[in-house]
Amino acid sequence: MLRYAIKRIALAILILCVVMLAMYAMVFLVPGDPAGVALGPRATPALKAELIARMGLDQPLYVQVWNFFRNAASGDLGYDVWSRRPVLTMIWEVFPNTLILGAIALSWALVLGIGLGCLAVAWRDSVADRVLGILSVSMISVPSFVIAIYSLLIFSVWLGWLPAIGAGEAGDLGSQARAVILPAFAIGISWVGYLARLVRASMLEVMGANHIRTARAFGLPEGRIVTRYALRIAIIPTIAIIAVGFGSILSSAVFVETVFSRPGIGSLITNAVAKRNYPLVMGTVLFMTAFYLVVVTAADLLIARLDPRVRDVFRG
Amino acid sequence: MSSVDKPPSPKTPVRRSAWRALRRDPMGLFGAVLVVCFVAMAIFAPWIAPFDPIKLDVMHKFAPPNLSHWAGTDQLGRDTLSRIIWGARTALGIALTATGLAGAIGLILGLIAGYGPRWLDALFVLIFDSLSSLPMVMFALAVITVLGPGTATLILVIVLVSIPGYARLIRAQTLTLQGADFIQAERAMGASSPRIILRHLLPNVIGPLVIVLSMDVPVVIMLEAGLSYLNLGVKPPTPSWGNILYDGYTSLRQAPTMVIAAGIPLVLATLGFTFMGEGLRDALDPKLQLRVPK
Amino acid sequence: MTHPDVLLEVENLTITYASDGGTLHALRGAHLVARAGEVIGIVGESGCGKSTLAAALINLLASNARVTAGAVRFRGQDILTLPDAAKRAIRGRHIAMVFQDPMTAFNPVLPLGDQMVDYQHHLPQPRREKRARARAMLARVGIPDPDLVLGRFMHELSGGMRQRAAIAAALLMTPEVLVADEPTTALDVTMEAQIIHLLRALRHDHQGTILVVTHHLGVVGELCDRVYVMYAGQVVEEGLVDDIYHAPRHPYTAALIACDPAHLETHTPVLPTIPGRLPDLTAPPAGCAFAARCAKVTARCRAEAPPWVRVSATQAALCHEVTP
Repeated sequence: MLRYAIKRIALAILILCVVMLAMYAMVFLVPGDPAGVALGPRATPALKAELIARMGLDQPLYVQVWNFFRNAASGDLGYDVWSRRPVLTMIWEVFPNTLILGAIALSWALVLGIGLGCLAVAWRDSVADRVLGILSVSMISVPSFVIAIYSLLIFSVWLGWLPAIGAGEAGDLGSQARAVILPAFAIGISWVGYLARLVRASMLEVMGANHIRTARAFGLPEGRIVTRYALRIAIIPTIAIIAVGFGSILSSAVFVETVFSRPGIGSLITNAVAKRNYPLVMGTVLFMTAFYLVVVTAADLLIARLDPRVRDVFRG
Repeated sequence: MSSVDKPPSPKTPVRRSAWRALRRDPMGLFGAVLVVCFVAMAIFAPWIAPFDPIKLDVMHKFAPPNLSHWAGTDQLGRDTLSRIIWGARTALGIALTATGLAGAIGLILGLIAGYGPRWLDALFVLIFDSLSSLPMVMFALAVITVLGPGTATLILVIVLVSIPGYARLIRAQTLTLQGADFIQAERAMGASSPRIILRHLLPNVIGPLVIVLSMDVPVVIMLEAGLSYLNLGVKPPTPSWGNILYDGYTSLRQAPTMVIAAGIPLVLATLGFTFMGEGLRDALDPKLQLRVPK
Repeated sequence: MTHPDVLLEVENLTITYASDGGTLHALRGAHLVARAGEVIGIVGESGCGKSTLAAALINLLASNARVTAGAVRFRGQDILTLPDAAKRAIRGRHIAMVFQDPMTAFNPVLPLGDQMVDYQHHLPQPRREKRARARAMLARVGIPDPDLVLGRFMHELSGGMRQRAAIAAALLMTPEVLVADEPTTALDVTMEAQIIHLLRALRHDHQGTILVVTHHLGVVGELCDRVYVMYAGQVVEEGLVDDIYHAPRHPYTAALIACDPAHLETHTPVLPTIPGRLPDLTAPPAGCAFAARCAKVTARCRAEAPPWVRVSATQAALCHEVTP
């Protein structure tokens, strides 16, 4: 297990380095001067010169790359062009918002999705199952920001039940809770459908497997078969998909936060892109990539813990 | 002995059975119908649209739906319906172009990775994995920051983001097939590498690729709409469903119909492509993986 | 009135499957009797219904299967009509099964020991004792270092060890009836020999009855006392092993024996086969199912269903052309 863990973590770090390299290199691949791109169209010659000196753009390439990596490792992701504040600080300010939004969206989607998936297995091949199937596919297909806009229209503008803007007052948990309902709903909807289908397919495949038949042949109670034998195996692809899907939740958050004017990574990066504020964009992307890699690696290790066949693939 | 000369061509019998299976699957058929409608809308836009989509008519801005403007007008007096119809052309044009391009490049890279030297394969895998570790939209935003928003950037971004997925699929298929007996047999008979790739690998890996491509089209449509909604995609005044949604969003109180009108074709188009793609996949290979929602 | 030491009796069992192509008549009036201390062989080619029969014995028929007639009696009681809880109480405890493919028969993500302890859930003892019983049983079936193996996962064991473990698991509860479904089919020849050797050794300790379901005549010859030959969902012949092998009465049995490569006396360039194919079980013939392929067929065979003719105290065949 330990060897597998080390290999996985090493791989994740390697990937992060490649991504960092790619992000950094993008600035240079574009025609034009890097400082101009990095600072955007509003850069004055003085600003550019300062940036060149500070970023060491006048130094040989390998020195630049090395400096960049060294800075990033120590938490310095550069400075925002406009506010001159450290990028990392700006990210940390808004990241918890997005994280909470993502967590809440995923939680309710998990509960409803897995629940519906298990129901579909129990009712398999009935009319309800087919309807559920169609609904699931539909839910996956509708983009989250469209749902966000529509729910904004219905619940905020027309019915006035929930706030349209913001994340609620600081310290007032009630208003914060009310502000998170619609965004979490919008992000979670596509996941409900997806999870329901995944759980249903997974469980059906496992329940039909030979070893389940053996367990039944020994008279084991169905409840224990489902939880100890079937679910343990069926949950594995679910964990993998959720981990990978974290990336998509973050992507959805970008749009949904914009729709509801919620502070968060999404609003941060969208505004930065609009202003061609590359240091902030690059810093945010790297931060989110690192976070995503942590999640995926942790999920992989969890899966290896649950399914011993996975660890042994790496043996020898 | 004749079956040895001609490599098994999976396309003809598969196509026929696919059509039969699609007929038995009402949702897939429904999706196919929707797709055909939207493709027709995209192709015949100049003839179907009642008005010029970029023609300004500020006198009649925010008109509610009436007899001449079935979906009303937007903040610059442009006919929403016409813009939506032309939007189909934008959406489908970009989606099909980008997906096709990404698929072609992914196919080539995947074949090379699977069939070529091991070190090249390892390098490719590292790059593919790294690109996939970036949340798609984030990477798109980074590239857009550097290159500036626009249709060309949009297509480039989508292509770059999609290639790793296809390349990996093709690579996996190629690797699996390489060990297959009929490939070994061909090599033993002295077939050259390009011949093996073209006549034997290619027909067998294209099937799953086409399925995945068709299931990716709705994702790309959504991505384009999303980025256009953020004003980072297709530049106005070119009509895009995303743009119209944004205009509708900013004028939500004055003209709620815009948002509704723009959302409907987007939802229907993605639903249609998804249902059709699922139907196709079920007909041809039910074991393919589901896509993560975006 | 059932004989006291008849443990298992299958009476006129008729089972159909609902499928896309129509109703499949998998079993048509199958019957057998198994007494304590016997090893019974159920032999036939693919599609003869023996797997359905085995599933019926353990009461794990597929969801699209319908028992349209007959009964499976364990100690006189029809187990097919029992409520679910009662069915479960019998499984594993009184009637146990050794499955065909040991790799997929066990759960891949749980260690063997955990599963073997689980299978003893009928018993009230604490886990430690159950684990000790499992260890003892593994040693009994010839697995070296049972403690180590208890902690192993399925993919870490060799094919022969897995099959031994499967047999050990089935014997844990000392069931009265042990059903072995193709116990050697998934194994290579050397392992097959070991498993046959093991089963032979075990039967001396085992007080109940063992039923071996297989298509492999050699296994039946090595292991069994009595044999039931099945064809197209019916039992076409029953008899002692010696009767079946040296004096088969039913034309199908005779043809099967003749086709067995191990029985060939002279060098032949072409392996003998039985011409023709199995009848379509969605529309079983009114007459004898083997009529289309039988060398002794008459017009009556095609028209009338053959009778069950008892040739001796131990042998009987389902045929028009057999006389006692």
